[in-house]
Amino acid sequence: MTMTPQPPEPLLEVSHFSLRLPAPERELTVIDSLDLSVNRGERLALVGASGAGKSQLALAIAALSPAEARCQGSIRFEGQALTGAPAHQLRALRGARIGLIHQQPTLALAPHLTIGRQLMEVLYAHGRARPATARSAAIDRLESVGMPDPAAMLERYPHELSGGLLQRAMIAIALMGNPSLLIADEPTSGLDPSVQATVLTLLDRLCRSEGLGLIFITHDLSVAAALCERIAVMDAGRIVETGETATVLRQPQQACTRRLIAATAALGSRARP
Amino acid sequence: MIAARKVRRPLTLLLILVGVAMIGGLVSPWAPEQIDWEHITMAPGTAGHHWFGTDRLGRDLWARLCAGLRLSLVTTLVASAISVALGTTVGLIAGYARRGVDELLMHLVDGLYALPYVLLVIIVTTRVGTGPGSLALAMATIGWLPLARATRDETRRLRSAPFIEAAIVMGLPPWTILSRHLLPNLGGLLLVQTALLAPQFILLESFLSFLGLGMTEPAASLGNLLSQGAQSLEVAPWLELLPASTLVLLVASLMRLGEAYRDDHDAAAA
Amino acid sequence: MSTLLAVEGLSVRHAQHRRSYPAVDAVSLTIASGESVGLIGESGAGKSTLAHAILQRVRTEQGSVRFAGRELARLTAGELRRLRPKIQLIGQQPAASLDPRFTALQSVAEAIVLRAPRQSRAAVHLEALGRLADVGLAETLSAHRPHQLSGGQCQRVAIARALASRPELLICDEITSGQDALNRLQIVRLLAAARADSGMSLLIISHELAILHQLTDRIVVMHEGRVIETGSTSQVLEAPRHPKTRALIAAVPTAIGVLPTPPDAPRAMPADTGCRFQSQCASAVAVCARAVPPLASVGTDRLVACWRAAPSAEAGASEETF
Repeated sequence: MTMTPQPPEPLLEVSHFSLRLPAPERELTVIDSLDLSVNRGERLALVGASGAGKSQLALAIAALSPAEARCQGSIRFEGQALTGAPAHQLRALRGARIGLIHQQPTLALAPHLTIGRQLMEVLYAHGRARPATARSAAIDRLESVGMPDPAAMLERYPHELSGGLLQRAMIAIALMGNPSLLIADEPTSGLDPSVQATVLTLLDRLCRSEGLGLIFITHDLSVAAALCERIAVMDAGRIVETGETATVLRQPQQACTRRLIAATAALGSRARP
Repeated sequence: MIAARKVRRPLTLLLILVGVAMIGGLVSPWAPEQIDWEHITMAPGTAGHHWFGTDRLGRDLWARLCAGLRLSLVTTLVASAISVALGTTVGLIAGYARRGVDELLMHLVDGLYALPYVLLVIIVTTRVGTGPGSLALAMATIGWLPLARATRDETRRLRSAPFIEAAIVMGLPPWTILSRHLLPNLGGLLLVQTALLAPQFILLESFLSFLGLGMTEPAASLGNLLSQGAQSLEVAPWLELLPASTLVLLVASLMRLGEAYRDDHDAAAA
Repeated sequence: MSTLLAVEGLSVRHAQHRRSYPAVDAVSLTIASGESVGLIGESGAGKSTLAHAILQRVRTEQGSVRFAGRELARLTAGELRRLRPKIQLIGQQPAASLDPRFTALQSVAEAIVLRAPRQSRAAVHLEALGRLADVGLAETLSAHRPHQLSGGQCQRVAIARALASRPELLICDEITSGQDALNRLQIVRLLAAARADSGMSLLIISHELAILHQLTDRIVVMHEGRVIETGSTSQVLEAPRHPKTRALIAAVPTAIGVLPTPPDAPRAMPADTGCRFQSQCASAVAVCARAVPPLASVGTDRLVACWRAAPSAEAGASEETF
């Protein structure tokens, strides 16, 4: 693995960030004083057991936390503070500078709009383009994610697409605004290995060619290890361990990390340290 | 579900109204048809134990209102019972049967839907008579249709639900699957549909009686009272306002109840 | 070991967009008593359809399914129903496969009561609790309904319920999909223990090759409705002979910093004759376009449907079109 030289300021910096949600009995601490940073062009895997808070963190960074959430600490993106920023500023960032791929394509894509429409919406929402240029931009973007026959794909609806193509459509929409940070929440969970391999290769190519920072959320260590040079292990709302993937997986310091590695190894996966 | 806050208030109101309907008449010394010559068109509470006042013929409004409530509730109950029985049976059969039978039944339902409801009710009452029984029957002739549709759609949907498939794979007999898994899960929908049906029936009955097509004099029904009260609105406003308020309270409580059940059902399904 | 399940020449057609295609195409498969067989293949290869066909839940065009010697399609509805507890299926949608109004305990108890109608309520209750404990569901959760349980917990209830029928064959269709490594490991251990206890046979459909290592003795590989390779688990996973099997295995991430190999994009339109995989196959030769390779033996209990892997089959093969 190559060591990327550290640029002066991280693309994303999360400091002492906490997120609490109201619950029937007492407040639920979903994210607990968490620190995390991602540099430009860096691929970071965020792993942990189900319920560790990974998705909530993704939503918080994309400024999509539920309205009733109480946040503390700071999230800085490209030097700008996201926490406490006014709504219009966050809207401008979301989709344009920060792209988010949701966990379930069926929920994240509007069933009644064509793929083309949803792609172009991203541009319209950020005042970036007019219909003529939007269409060709959409076709270019679909081509960049390896969609077969991009022009025809513009007219298709989400339900017509199979799992792999749907995932590509999601990636295309997330990248439509040419963001500098992409957050992918379990993009390959539930996909069969062939499709998964295609998505991983695609993300790898896109990140390299467009200099994207990537936060790749997954509970699958072998997938994380294959794609990302840095890894952060999350447990009960905190980051318990972080570092270069090879180092963390070969010499885990925390019990939680060791448990995950042991479970993955015990399953007979050949991702041996 | 019963204890939920949203349900408690309308349910309480409804129960109060039902209570009034049942025993309200017994509490008053006056009968609904009884004429009190000495106290004609009296305002509420002014004389002779006429808490709600009297009408042009000296009849006690409280007694008549209680009787009217009773009649409306009973008619609605009968009409609802017939609609539910017929609607759910047809809906279940259509939902469970082969495509051919299902299509046939649904075409029938759609065909009847197209008929003008009020006209049909009028035709039935003019032929069969205007008592509460025939009115209930007339209302039920088309009241069962939405229930049949809703039941059929929900049955169809549940049939292909994974848990029904799991029950089949487990080896449960068909009747057991129907009674233990399908019907109870259908129950929520039925309750909602019925609760939303009742206020419609109440309004329909009032409307028809108001027009003179439902219950006729001297029987007291909410519609009748509204009709009579309308005639003396300037002179004796209480004759209109009190029955109207009662109608509003009754319909509102039924609708709120239905909506509360529906929201509860939708939330659970989500 | 006697044969528990014998599937022979099973075909299922699937109608979609005004065309129909074979979802399962002349598949033959046997599972012996106590044996565990894995079924792998891409999405759409026909694995789930095959499972549902075995259960007689989809209509089959051709072929037979014999369970414990009895031809399932010939049974009356009542006979089939009484046989069902012996063949159980756990699917991918755990929460949806449980009655939303039933508690975890009630779901499991229902299977017990069906199996042993004369048992007292207390005994049923006790057994149900025991089975939930076996799958690692805390007792406090036994009174919870599906919407109050997580996906992993619902899956365990589904497993407990399936095992409560004391099946002779348990079919697991992608039951670890979307679960984290800790949950997956627990499920694997659970099934292994249940199998050791009762000697039941397993048919494990899964994308996750890691699980198959742990749970299966043999593997059957499917592609576009057909069986393309069979053999023992270690043979198929460590020394695959069919190019598609190789591609499937190469697509699984195995090393740090090394991306798994995605499948080759099809080079041409699917051909009308010959091997169905040829348009994606890097090693296709002339004969691949002429005829469909039959499943041929390349060793003891080792079958491959590939002209390159089993050239001896070419002798005597006639031109087939499909």
